Amino acid sequence: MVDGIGGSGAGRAAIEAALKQIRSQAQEMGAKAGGLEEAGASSEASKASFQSVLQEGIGTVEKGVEKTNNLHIDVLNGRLDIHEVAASLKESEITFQFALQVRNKLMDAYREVMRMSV
Amino acid sequence: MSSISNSNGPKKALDGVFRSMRIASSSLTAERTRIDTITKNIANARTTLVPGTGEPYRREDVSFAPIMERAAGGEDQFMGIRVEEILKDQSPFEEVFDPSHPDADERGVVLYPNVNAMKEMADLVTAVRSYEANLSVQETFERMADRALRLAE
Repeated sequence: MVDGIGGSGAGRAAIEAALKQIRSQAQEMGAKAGGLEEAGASSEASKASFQSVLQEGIGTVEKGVEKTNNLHIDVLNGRLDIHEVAASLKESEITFQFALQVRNKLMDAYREVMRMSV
Repeated sequence: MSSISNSNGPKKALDGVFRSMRIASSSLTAERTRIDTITKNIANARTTLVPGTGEPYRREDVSFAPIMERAAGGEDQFMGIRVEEILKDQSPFEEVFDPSHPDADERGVVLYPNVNAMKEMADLVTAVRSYEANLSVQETFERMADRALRLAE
């Protein structure tokens, strides 16, 4: 094919064929890229919902822990029994441990992605 | 008294997770009330006149009732127990002949409370055992949650 460059009509036809092939390939790539962009957009949407879910979860955990932090006032005012305080402390501890495990998993996933050789 | 195990409040997140914890907590509160009542009975075992009533101290007993909550599916769900009411023991008072007593009647008889110290001690032991049992439930739940979370490590 290279021999035919600038030469005979047959060679030109070969070049044209090759260009055509490249163009069609580019088109195909473009379509694929478009598809990727679309996929990116949808992942954007899912990312947003994931983010909101995560934030909601963190809010829940924070509320639980905060509630326990305010308990000592209730105890001093005699509104609460000791066992309730202990139970509440344990509850917030377990809730926090749960949140910590979720966070650890997220960090693990992030590190795994960062370690990936491109 | 309890503000944590208040089941009338809004549905809290993670409520389902800590259900057994809350049920045990409500039971602990109820047992505490029972122990308080027994303490009151023992303390008043020799109270011959309660001001305002004109009679000796009457033994008290507590009755428990389950707390049911309408779940999302329309079914009642057990959420714990609470003290239904504090009952007055209607059994007769103990009559002791003691004319020198300030609360003696015209016959020289003094009415003493219908409290039996032995019975109160036995009740106290069962109440404390129930309290301990519920604490064990909470401890076990905590261990379970701990082990489950360790699974994620």
